[in-house]
Amino acid sequence: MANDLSGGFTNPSQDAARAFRQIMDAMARPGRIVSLSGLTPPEPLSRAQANIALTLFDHTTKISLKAHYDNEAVKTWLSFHTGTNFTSPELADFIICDHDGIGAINALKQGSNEYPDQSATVIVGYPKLDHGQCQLSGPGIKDKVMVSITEISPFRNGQAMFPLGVDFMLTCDDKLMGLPRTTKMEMC
Amino acid sequence: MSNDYNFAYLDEQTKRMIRRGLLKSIAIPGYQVPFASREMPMPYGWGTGGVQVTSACLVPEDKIKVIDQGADDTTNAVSIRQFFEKTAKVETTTHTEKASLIQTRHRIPEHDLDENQILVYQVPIPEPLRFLEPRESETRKMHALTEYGLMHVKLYEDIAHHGHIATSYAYPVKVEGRYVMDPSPIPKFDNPKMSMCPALQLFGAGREQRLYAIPPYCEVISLDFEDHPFTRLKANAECELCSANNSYLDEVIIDDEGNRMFVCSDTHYCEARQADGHRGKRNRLDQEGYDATHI
Repeated sequence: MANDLSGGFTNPSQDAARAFRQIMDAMARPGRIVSLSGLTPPEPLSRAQANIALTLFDHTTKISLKAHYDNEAVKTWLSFHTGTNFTSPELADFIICDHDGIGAINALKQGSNEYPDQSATVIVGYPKLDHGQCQLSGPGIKDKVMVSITEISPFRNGQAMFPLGVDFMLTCDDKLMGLPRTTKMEMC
Repeated sequence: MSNDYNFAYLDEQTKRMIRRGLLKSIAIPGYQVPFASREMPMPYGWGTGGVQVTSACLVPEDKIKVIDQGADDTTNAVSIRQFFEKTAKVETTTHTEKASLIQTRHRIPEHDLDENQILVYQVPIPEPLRFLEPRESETRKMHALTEYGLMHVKLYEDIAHHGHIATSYAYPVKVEGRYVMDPSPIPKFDNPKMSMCPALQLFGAGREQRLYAIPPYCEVISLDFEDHPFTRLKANAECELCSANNSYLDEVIIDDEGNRMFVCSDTHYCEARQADGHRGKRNRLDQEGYDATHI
């Protein structure tokens, strides 16, 4: 239903607090898969993507929806719940897309040398989040962790040299895995 | 009864702004993220930055501990603990190992932290280069260019004046080989605990409006020289209440004749050791149960 605005947080303050703890945990410990449930967003937005949106978006953020995410139902729902602004990918703070639609990373905001934090975060729909053949290491990871990323290039091609760069949040239904710019990736 | 406060005091828009900043600070370990710090119902210098970070991270299920220079029972710690009891209705504790979130002023607890804990530091001056270069535009550029020679000159001048690196607190560290960071005024005794720590470490500077972070399992190196390697510093004594010889000690004046005693700065650590039967030299009971060494 195109004008169905239900399915948001029932207790916005505490639900957002719990969702943020999970999101922060995921970003601080890349490879750890956390669960974000409780919302019923319009298709094709996943529950995890919706939780991230309602926790982090507001009238000061610029969002870009790519491919099939760019539809009226999603826009109306996000506008109603967050009051956020929509823009093009190169100007966006947050980009919602699928793993095969990330496109050229160097077309996104990667921050400046003085302010590398002024960079985009990409909230990616991923087909499967589990253990797998891609080895992650770096800050937040004790030794190494194996995850089900099948191709590295969408996340690293065109990624600027640290400290610049783009951070990724990989989502699949209610699952979320963080992939910040510091994480080293290797296929095994 | 109506709840007069939003959960954890801050309004939702402020929390979202801090939360976005925290995620970027985690993605760039040691880098200072500017944020629009709010006025809090306490003066600057009393942990307004730490309180805002804690507010943004807190969930109703949290059990929080607040320490001020290691102590759970000083004014700052007690009032911040009460603040969150009142505004977030969360449980509080003094036990390091039972806390899910610890807000600290100037110490890292003696007890090892674990993966389920978050340590929030209150920071007065987040910029390690500030006393060497007062202009923010310049220090930004120095961080951007990894231009940290000035910091080494400062440590070298310590050696030239004192024969050793005399900086004993807020001792500069390098995080993951990139950003030089101020660990807040913790004693340099605590610096090694920051490296490869299983807990997430968050830093909030309210007046200076900066957030920064050390994700878990990060390499944090205290700056030094090959011929003057970093050393931990602690009073050459043991705790006179619990006899610990490996904890950070405070020196306390106990009368007007200049007598002093050394006690653990971490009150929970000291009390837990005493409960386990460890006794220091001022805390021993004689056979009748009287404190034989009481002055």
